[in-house]
Amino acid sequence: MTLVTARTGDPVVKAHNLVKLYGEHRAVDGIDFDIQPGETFAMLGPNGAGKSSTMKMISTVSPVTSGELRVLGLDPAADGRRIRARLGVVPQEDILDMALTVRENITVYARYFGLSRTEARHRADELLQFVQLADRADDQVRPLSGGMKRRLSIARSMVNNPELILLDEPTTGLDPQARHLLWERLYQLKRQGVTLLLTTHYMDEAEQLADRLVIMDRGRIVTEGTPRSLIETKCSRDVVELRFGEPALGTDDPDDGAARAETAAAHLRLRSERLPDRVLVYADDGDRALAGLAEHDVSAASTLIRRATLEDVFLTLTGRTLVE
Amino acid sequence: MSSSLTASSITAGGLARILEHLYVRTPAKYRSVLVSGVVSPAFFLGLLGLGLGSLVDERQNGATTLGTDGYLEFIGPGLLAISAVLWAFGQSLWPTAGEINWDRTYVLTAATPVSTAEIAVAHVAWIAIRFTAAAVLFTMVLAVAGAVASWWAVFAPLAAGATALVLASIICGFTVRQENEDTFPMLLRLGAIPMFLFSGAFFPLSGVPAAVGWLARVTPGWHGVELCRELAQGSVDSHSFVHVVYFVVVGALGMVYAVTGFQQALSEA
Amino acid sequence: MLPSTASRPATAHTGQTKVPGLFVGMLRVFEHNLISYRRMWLTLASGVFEPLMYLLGMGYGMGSIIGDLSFRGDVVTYAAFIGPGLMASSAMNGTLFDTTYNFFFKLRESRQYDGMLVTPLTIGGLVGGELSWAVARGAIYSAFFVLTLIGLDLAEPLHALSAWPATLLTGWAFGAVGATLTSYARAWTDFDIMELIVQPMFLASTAFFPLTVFPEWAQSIVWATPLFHAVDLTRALALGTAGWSDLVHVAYLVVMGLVFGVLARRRLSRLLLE
Repeated sequence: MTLVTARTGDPVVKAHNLVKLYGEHRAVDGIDFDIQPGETFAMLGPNGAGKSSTMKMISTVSPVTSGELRVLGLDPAADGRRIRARLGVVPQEDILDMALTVRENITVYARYFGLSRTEARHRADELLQFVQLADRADDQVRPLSGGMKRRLSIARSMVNNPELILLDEPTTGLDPQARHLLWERLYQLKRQGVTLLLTTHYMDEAEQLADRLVIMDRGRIVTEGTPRSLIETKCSRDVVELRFGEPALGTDDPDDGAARAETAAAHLRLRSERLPDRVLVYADDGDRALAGLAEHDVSAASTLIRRATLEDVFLTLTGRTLVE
Repeated sequence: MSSSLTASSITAGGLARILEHLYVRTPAKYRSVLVSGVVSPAFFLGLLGLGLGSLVDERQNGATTLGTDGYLEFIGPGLLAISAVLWAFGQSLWPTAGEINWDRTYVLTAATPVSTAEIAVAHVAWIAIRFTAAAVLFTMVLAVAGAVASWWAVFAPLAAGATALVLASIICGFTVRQENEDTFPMLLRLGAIPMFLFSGAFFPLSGVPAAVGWLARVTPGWHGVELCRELAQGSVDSHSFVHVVYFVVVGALGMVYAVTGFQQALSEA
Repeated sequence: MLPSTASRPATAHTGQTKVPGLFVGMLRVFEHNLISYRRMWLTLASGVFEPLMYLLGMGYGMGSIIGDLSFRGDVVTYAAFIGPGLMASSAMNGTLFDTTYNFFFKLRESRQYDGMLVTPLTIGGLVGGELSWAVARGAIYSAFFVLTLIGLDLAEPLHALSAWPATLLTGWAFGAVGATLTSYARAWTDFDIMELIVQPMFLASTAFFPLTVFPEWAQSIVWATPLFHAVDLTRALALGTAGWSDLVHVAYLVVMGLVFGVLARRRLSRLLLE
């Protein structure tokens, strides 16, 4: 159903051995990827993985330290302005001008892209319609909710009909309802053929929106693929979650239950991962695994069998959780 | 560093480094009141009091327009009162709005057995108390500079503190009634600047149109300047009593204005 | 629902995109400010009164106890003496305030500059546009000041007009310094130090009294400060006593504006494009 390999046509973004250094710190440590026209590409990883630095290099506001980067076929170092003219950028924190109205926030930016005042106004009204803020057009920005501000940021990023929109953690800090509304709008964009690059540390977001993704950790790409293929190849189908109650006072080994579960999993030839509050056991058949664990005298306070997610992929690949 | 520097040499660079160190070492909460209450009026005293003063004294030469021996004695106590005016404006607008709207500490305090009226009075008083402490220092500066002629001057910091208190009560009452901060720059321009210029700190009000003079005489700034000057000169008389009565009456009214404003703001918050 | 153009294929765009140049970029930044301040015109307009009150208060009030003063041999009233001095000081204050507090807010608090730089706008356009806005704002205030000097008969109309460009130069030179300071500032409180330097400079600048009042050693210190040059130049023009030697003042301010302008651009580029 989803395309893993590149579609025809030149990639919108192409990075080869891309490196970004801040002093001694290797924020991006030699990454390779390409983004094809029309696809939604996600970068997934915890804070400090190098996602935002990569985004900044693509939007040409941060110079490349070494390696190769082509955006829309152009070199960011030489053609920054030309690239920016064709990009839309939605920053992580909404940078909106509080002295302006909702509509003016778009028209003022439109002028930076060379639109005439009439074009700018026309375009602003279209975009406000699209992000469902038309009725707030003449309002001040300050009282808008977090979700509305983010939608306004997205509308503003689209003012120049960008060929590529960069979204840096678009739903961080939003409540579930606002997130779903935003996803729906992004999905609309995607259907219209706009290329999207988004960073996120939410697995469900990547699973919902991305055609293809890379998982980043400490400046490197750990793996790449479609959300489904990653779950299938890098993890198991199911995950059994076992939680153990607080150890009784005076017990010799407080982690007795968790330790026994790990040993049992090893006996069953299943991979397990121990977290501070629970033990995860990876299995293609969750029910059978749970039954097997019970035979080995593993008795957890609570158990849960669920489908594996990208979170599990990340944990499997790095041994760490995404949101810490 | 060149070897010619000895233990007793003084260089601009060295002084600047030590001053910067002292500045950085002084906690920010003391810094602002020291700057507003001591350093800044001292700049005025040194540059206008001495610089402009030499011109004024040359021209006045024995005339009685100023009512003091020289310009330094005239402007010195005036600066004490006028810095109270600027301090009261400075603290009662943005910082006061900030404590109510952003920090919301008072919203929390109001939820304890403390009354809103107590919060309002304490807030205004704290502005005046901090200034009074700085005013003690500046009065010493005045004494050292020779701008003080009487022991009555020990009460001058209290007079300056009263100026700050009365003004702060009124402005805080205004601030807590505002929906946003857009009106603040206007108040500075139409309130603080005229009061700074026309309270008689720099020149006697005989030099301005009578209407401006009478308008100035109803402001706390003018009463503060006059009282501070009378105390510094030791020319305490019935006029001084009028200033004290003014401060008591207007201060009480201002406090009521502030208290009702705080009550309104904190019940809505 | 979505504007139809949004589905345009990537390649169709190439070559058609308008990329505004440096000057256009500056204009856009200027326009952005104009729109932002549109609702605050009352605040802006009230800014006119501040220097006026200084002029009336100090000029006539102080004038009543000082009388006349001589400047380069001409005897003038105290109000005529102080008027151009206050005009130069207010030109400095206006742009310095704009390029410090307002710049810092957009640089660090609202981070608006980050948002503006992901458009075709360049750092040069950004700094140039912000600076020219600050200077233009000051120019309007100075223009009112010129009219006041003429209206109160404190200067010959043509002389007063000739002092106007000097205030633009002053505004630009101090604006460049302000922008540079902003690039070094870590927190709001850092600007307190600036105020501690600006205030004595203002009081000593000869805006209020002639240089000859100072003892000799202090005169050379005052001479070294930029505001002295701005005040002396503006006053010489407004009182019609300017000569070739005043080009020293112009040179001082031009060099200051250029050096700090370049420095500000470089510093801000390092901060914003890291």
